[in-house]
Amino acid sequence: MTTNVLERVAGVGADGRRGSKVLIPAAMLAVATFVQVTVMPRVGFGEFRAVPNLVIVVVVALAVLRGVVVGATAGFVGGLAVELLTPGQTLGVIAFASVAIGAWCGRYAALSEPVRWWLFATLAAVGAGLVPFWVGIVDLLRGVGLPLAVLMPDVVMPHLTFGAIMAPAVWWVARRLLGSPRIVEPGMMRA
Amino acid sequence: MEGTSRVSRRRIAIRRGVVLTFLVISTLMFTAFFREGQGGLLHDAKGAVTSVFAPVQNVAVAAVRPLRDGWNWFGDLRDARTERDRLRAENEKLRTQLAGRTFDQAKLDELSALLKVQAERPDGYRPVTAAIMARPMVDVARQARIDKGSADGITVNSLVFVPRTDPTATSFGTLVGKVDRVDTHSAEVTFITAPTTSIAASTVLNGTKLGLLRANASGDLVLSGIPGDKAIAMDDTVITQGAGTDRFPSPYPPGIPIGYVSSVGRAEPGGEQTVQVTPFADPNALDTVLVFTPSSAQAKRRAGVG
Repeated sequence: MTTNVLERVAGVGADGRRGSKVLIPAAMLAVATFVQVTVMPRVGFGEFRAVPNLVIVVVVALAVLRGVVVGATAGFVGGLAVELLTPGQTLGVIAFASVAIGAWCGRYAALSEPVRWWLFATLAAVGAGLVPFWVGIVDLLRGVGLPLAVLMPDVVMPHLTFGAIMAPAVWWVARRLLGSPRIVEPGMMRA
Repeated sequence: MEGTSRVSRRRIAIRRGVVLTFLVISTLMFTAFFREGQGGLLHDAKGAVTSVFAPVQNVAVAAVRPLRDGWNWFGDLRDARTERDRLRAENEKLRTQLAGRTFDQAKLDELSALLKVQAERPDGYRPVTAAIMARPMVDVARQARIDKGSADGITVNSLVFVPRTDPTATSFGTLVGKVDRVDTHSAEVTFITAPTTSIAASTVLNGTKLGLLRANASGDLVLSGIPGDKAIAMDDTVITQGAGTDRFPSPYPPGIPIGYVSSVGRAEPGGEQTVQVTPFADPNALDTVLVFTPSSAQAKRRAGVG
């Protein structure tokens, strides 16, 4: 009985298939957020106005491997955690973008063809670029944003590039921890 | 078949419900955050979370610092060479000017007085060394969080400096920003390169109040509102004016160096001219800063905390 409960929490099914429903995705997101708010701001990238966004790459990985609900939830939690723990005049803006990106990327978990690493890298890079673009647009609407001529080359492009660079390593780790894509949603926890 | 379809519809409804719920919560959250003031509930919640996590961030920052320092050494070497070349050229130019000009004694006294102010730490302030432990994800040149807070004596409007280690520098440090929000073990610094910061400033050679120094949206410093008849010299040092009224004093004491004139715009006849200023310290590249917290009554009044 106890073993069964532990297996369900850890997500190791009766068939021995790896991949957690809750624990491992939550742990991945927690580690990514920790690294994001401690190590990443210390990573120097010269003149760029950007701190690499590891959290969104992990959110995309969780979404692609576990579906829309996990993607959106990870996006909300990860985005909000980053906003709470980093300086800046926003709360909920990055979370909004991360939810949308997580939900969109979650649709790829239902594909009959398994997602390849290069497709994941593309999704991660686009997602990493969309977050600062959305924040920049909101800032522009508030009258405190960078002009698009600066936002695109100095912020969005570096984020996009960092996302693409980090994606292969994150994909490798995520595939080893979570296994193959499978949809996890409320009401189908036995799947 | 009908049962399968019903299950499928239910799953789609759950999916959409979850996504929509999160989107609505996020929207409500950022709308409320923008509408409320600095002392609002969400701002306070953010500050509380930051305070709890600050000790962990401090440990991580200390752990990563050796790697970062090693990497920075190469960049600093390149910057030092560039700065050396610039100062060498400026020195040469000043020598030429000095040889061909008879200095007015009154002007010399005025400059000496200004240089004296720059050479000393601001009166009535207590220095606290702080490390930068977090930056915004999107625009790192506007704000940062430092690892010292109200427990270390930091107050709102404390001045943030970078010490100048160059032995030829005439000032002990250069202004890079001020503290805008304080929590128990951390504080948020807004840099001079944020468009929300404006400072009454002048150049050393002019002395009198010149104009308002403010970053444009791109983060470039612009000194505007300068009378068209004022001659502005390239490479001249830009300093704070300390302007303000008795009731609303400027948080910046006079005579603090900020940067140097890097470009002078053409003056319209009878109009104003605009000058581009390059800060002495790049906020992007900072790891450690020196925070001057107000300790005298006058400094506290300047900071609005007395």
